[in-house]
Amino acid sequence: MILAALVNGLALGAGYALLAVGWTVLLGAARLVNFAHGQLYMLGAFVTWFAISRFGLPYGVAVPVALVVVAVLGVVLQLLMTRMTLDQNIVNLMLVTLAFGYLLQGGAALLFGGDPQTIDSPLQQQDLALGAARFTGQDVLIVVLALAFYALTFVVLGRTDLGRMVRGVAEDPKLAQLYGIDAARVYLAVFVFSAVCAALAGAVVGPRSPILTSMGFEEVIVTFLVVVLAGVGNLVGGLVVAIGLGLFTAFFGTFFPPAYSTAAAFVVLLVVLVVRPQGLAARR
Amino acid sequence: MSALLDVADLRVRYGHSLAVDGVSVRVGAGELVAVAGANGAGKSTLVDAVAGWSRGRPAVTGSVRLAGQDVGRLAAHRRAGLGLVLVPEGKGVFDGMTVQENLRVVRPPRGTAGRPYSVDDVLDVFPRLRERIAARCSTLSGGERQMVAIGRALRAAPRLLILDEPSVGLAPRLVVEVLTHIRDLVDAGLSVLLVEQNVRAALEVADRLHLLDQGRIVASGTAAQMREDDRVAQAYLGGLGP
Repeated sequence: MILAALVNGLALGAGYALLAVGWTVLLGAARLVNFAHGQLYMLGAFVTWFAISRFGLPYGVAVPVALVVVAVLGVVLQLLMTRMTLDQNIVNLMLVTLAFGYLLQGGAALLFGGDPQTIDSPLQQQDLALGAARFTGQDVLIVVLALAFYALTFVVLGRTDLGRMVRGVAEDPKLAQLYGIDAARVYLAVFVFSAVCAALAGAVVGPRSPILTSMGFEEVIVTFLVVVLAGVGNLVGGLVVAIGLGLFTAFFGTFFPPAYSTAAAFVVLLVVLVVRPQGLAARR
Repeated sequence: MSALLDVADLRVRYGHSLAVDGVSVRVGAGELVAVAGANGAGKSTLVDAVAGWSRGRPAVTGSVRLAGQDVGRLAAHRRAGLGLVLVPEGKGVFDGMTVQENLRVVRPPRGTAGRPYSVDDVLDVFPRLRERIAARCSTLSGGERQMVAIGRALRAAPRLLILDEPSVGLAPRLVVEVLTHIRDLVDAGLSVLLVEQNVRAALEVADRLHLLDQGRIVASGTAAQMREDDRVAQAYLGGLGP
């Protein structure tokens, strides 16, 4: 039972991590917020499902299609918010992205219907075992992708010119212009990256359970939880906290009614914010 | 001399306040032109407007031409891409990055007419930065930070470098060091528009100087002429004549 909870928690946590990596970069490196993040996760799952069920595309092709669709949507959303972003008008950005979230949810319900759907992934049918713990190929994919995305993001932000530009714009977008950096383009790139990460999370976590167009709100709350617990912008902390949250949820669900697991996670958040306001993984 | 930078009748207004009132400035190729004046004279506002850069939202009218091209409507990063590069007063570097990262984040624009400086070229200009290359900029001294700021501007292959009060906050010995570096760059062919509150120091290195007061140019001339100007001597050099 313990081993099963451990494996389940790892997969769950890796899903949270994949969902949170984009937001961590968005909020930490670019000082941007996006409350439509959960709906982009939902769209990643639904466009994948739609590409498979309507066009008969294999799962491996449907996922990139979903990522492209959400990336294009991300471009449109960010272009609409360029002025607010350059002005770092955080309150308006929160409200506008919240509105985008509701619009995306309504649009998805019109397009895809309100019934629960299942994403047909061959990896979900692939049963694997580690001792007494059973898991699927899909769980392995989620963990591998989460680790790969965190490693990639870590290297890009720390070691490449693109990463330096993102960090420069995050520190001082006005000064960045004098370095010849087009801050609006950097914001666009970061927003699209974040949207694609959310869509990827939806596309790979989606096959684990039925998907609904109403999902997304809990996911954005979980993302927020991870980013705040880790300390805003802390990439490694984000991965550790996401995995920790997945394990906490899995173990909590093993011994207590799972319906209370989100509430329990928020109790942890409250305690952490009181004891360590800078976040669990942030350095003092 | 045909002007590399030609600023004509520039006016900058913040709300109802006119900060720069009809200023015209020309900088020739390989020339160092200084703009001097007291605090609040409008010096920084003037050069920020020339670079298309501001932390506020000023209304700017007039024309700014670089090598004959009208750049007055371009965003700051586009002007920088054309070689009109500003080092602002105060915070001119990314504190959260190392010296090397600050220098590497700038890439010389493709097809630029300015001289592209590699990171090594910058370290040749400012050898002191070589030993501080891995240090975070927040840990540098004021003089070192100013060198990084000028160095990153050189990386952008400037045709015209605008320096806003590079001597502010520096010890007198460092002021001389920084200004000497700037003069060396001009002697190597770079054009510089220098804003300086320290008129005595500006006259040491400038070819020409404009005196700005309440947003207007009140005196202009070569460095030699301005040293002889009674208004400059009385107001800024502590007495009449040298």
